[in-house]
Amino acid sequence: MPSASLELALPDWGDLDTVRRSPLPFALWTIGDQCLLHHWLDHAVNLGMNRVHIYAADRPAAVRHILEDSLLWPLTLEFTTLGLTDHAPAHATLVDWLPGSSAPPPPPANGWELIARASAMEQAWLERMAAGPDHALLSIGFSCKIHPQAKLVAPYFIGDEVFVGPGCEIGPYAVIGNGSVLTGANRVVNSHLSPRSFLGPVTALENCLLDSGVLFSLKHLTRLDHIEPHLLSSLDKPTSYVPLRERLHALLLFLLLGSGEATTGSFVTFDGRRLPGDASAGLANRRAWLPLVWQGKLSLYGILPRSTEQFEALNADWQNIIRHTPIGVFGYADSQGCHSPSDPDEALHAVYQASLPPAALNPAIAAFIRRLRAADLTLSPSSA
Amino acid sequence: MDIDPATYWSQTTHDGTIERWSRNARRKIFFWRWTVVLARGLKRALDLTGALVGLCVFLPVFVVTALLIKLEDQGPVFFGQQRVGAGGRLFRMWKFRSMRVNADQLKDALLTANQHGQAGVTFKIQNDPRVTRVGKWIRKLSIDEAPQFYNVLRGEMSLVGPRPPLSREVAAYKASHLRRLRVKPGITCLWQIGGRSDIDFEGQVRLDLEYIRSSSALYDILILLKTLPAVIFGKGAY
Repeated sequence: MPSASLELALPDWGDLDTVRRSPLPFALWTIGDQCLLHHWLDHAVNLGMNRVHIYAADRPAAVRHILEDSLLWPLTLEFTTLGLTDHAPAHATLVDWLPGSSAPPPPPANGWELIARASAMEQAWLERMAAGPDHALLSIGFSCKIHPQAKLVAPYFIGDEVFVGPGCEIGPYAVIGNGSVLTGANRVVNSHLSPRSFLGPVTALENCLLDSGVLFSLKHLTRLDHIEPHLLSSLDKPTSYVPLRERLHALLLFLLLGSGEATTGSFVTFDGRRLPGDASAGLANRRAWLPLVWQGKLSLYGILPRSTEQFEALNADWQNIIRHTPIGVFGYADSQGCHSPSDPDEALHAVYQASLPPAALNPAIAAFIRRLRAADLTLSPSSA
Repeated sequence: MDIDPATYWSQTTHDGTIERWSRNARRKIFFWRWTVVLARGLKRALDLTGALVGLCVFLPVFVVTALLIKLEDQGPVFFGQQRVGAGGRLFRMWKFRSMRVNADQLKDALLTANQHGQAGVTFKIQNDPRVTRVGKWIRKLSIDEAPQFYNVLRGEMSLVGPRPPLSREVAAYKASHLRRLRVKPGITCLWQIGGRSDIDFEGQVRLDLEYIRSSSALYDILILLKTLPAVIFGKGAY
């Protein structure tokens, strides 16, 4: 079979995402039944391609993670991390709209336009699916329970394991994510419900996006973070969830490493968290951060926390790559002998860690933690 | 739904309304979560029970089949082939060997006779010269598929589900065909009971999608029951 390849450049709109503040880049937002990038992989399959090369600047670790799980497509997937999307080859296709559409709208200018663009794409996808011959087979996922009194108005898409109660009206242009529960007498029109959403009785959504329990109204340009859970909520675990194993590990470390000297002062990290200690203090801070892991407020593994000033001192490309990477008590830089963001080499290790899937470097970090002794935590960054 | 916002909010002002709704909401979430968990558990339990019963009941038939295959050409009894499973993950699917040992080398010469077309995604021909004498009978009675009970026990396959394709078949798929790989593959499925190899590839995909949409433990039992006459009468098997 001759080698045919498609080159895709993912848009770098992370800075525009000021409203939804999604942990995923735009190309990984769900449009209908799958993320935008997967729609493009479908397109590559339909074109008879056998290789797809993807260039991404916005949250490359998340893209790489998704690609590693994209085994369904019979394609060889290659990936390159960029500082800016402009650095992608000129012939690469920009993944800013559904494949196969002739005239995508102009790029968004703000966070609301970004959400509106995803909504418009979803409408286009629903219309395309409704016009296809297999609409009846593809519009409802498996293991769904739909009450006979529910009314479904095409075009719509209902994911897997969804419960739709009596008197519900779904559609037109409604997407219900996997595992959602619509209790009864709900009306969902021109709206998207992310997986595992819950709608209480008589809750109606029109021109809305419900993402992990946060409601965005495109009609009123309003974001609602706190809503009575009996009206609507998310059945997901909270996003700041720290696994029990990590919490227990942190507790054990805290006990093994002793209480030590009290840490004075605090600083604000680039992602808005206030941590005890000094951002330049290296390993001396770590003992004070371990209880935060036990409390579920901080991960054990991640890039080292840096202050806003330290973050802004990095060049724009590197800022972009690490902006959405979770911070942790111990980072890959520790295993390489750099224990403070003040160390000029630390940023390089942080960027490398941010470019890989979250757990890829955890063994190296765990090996560093095993070697750690109580005396190490009193060393200054330069002598550590 | 005909309720204006004013009425809606006036209803919530009644004593205990919100608490009652919250209680009902929590109850519905609880029941739905357990329904989903039980549906998954029931399917797996059905697979394990069916595979174990199948292996035990047909053990004498399997022993005789193994002996006949070995006696015919002294080649291996089992034939393992890489197949594409749920989510595109590869696994080794086991069958009783029904073809000559060098069947794959002979296949290229037979492409013109493919019943599903020379450029067809799948490959099926009647009176395939690669099939051995014993193979012809075990294929007719579907005994060649029986070692897949082992794949079911390992959790790579289910009793009922879309048939697992070869990697080279998936390479020729269109995007819409990939939807059939979303669930665990199975030993039997809707097109196996509806006419088996007589149905063209597009028809098979449509039946697989229909199964995925309607799948439940009860539906699986129904398909398994309908598989029995299809196997006994050898409809569409060659």
